[in-house]
Amino acid sequence: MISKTVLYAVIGISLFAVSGIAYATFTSSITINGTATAGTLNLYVQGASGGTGTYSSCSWSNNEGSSITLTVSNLSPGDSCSATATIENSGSLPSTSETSSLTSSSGPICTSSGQTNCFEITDNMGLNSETGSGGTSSSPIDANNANSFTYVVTVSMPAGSTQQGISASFTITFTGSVGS
Amino acid sequence: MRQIPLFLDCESRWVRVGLSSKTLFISVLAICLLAATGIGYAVFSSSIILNGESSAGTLTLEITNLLVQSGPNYVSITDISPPLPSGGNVNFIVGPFAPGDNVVIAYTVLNAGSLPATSLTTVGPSIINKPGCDTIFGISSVGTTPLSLGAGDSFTSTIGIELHSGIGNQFEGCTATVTFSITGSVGS
Repeated sequence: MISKTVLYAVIGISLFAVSGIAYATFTSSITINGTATAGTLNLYVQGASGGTGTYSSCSWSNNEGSSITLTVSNLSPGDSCSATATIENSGSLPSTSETSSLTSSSGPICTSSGQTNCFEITDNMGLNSETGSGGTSSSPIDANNANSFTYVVTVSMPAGSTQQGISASFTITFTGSVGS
Repeated sequence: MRQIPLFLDCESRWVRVGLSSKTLFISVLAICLLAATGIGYAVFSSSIILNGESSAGTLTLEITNLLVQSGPNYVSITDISPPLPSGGNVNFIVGPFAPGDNVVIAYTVLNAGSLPATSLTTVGPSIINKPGCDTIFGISSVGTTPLSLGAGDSFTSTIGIELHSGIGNQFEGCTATVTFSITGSVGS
């Protein structure tokens, strides 16, 4: 009669032997470790250059790259100030589309066609304060590249107007985007 | 000193010698033995020696190629380490992703060993988003892999990674790790 201890020992050894057979296979493994990174889109104003009208002067101030302030003074009726802002993309993703919009204003901004005694604001992306349309562009600003955009302020004022010395302020927000 | 009346010579003849030296007896015996050995050397002989050498084979899987198969042109694979071809762990970075981007990565596996992988098993791919980045990255597709791979053979398959659309600026710069393992085996 085989004792239980001996029986268990035999079973144990048998299992070990079976395991030994399993370990005898040759194996080779490869592991792919990928790190996926979301990119960044970072637009800032690199610089601006202003033009002058007949009597007017245009000046820009760069507010730490996040916004620019255009100051136009001494505009006369029919006169305009054209200025160009250079916007750079310091992110890792391209800006594939851009929009511009008049986000706030105070003072006499022309909001309809034919309106007089006001300032008309336009840019080369299609923004027009008279029509209320915003500007759009599909020209990409690649990573570490810059594009230039032109903004125009025109005084719509009939000659001989008595509305001398009027002033207005406005904010144009430029937004670049990528992705869906 | 003792006299030795008889002595057996090398040809088995009894001779009578008058030597009285034990030393002489031993010397003659030694000469006979040497002669007998000399007869052995005189035999013609021929031998064949078989020298066998056996070696265990090898099973070595390697990644030989890793590239972006499809996706936006600003996405690329960088920082592959160790340089390919390589077995074991292969690390790389893929990006930059914009919201909604779906990038398909193609990889090629070569069995550089001398034995076939009679079984190929995979684990994953799994993806772990960096803490604070929610679950913005996901696996969009997984290509098929063969069930076996002969010695010297290779296959190419794919893994798709996507950055979900509609996410905001707070996820800029987020990362996720993707892990995919393939194990080949042979033998029993």
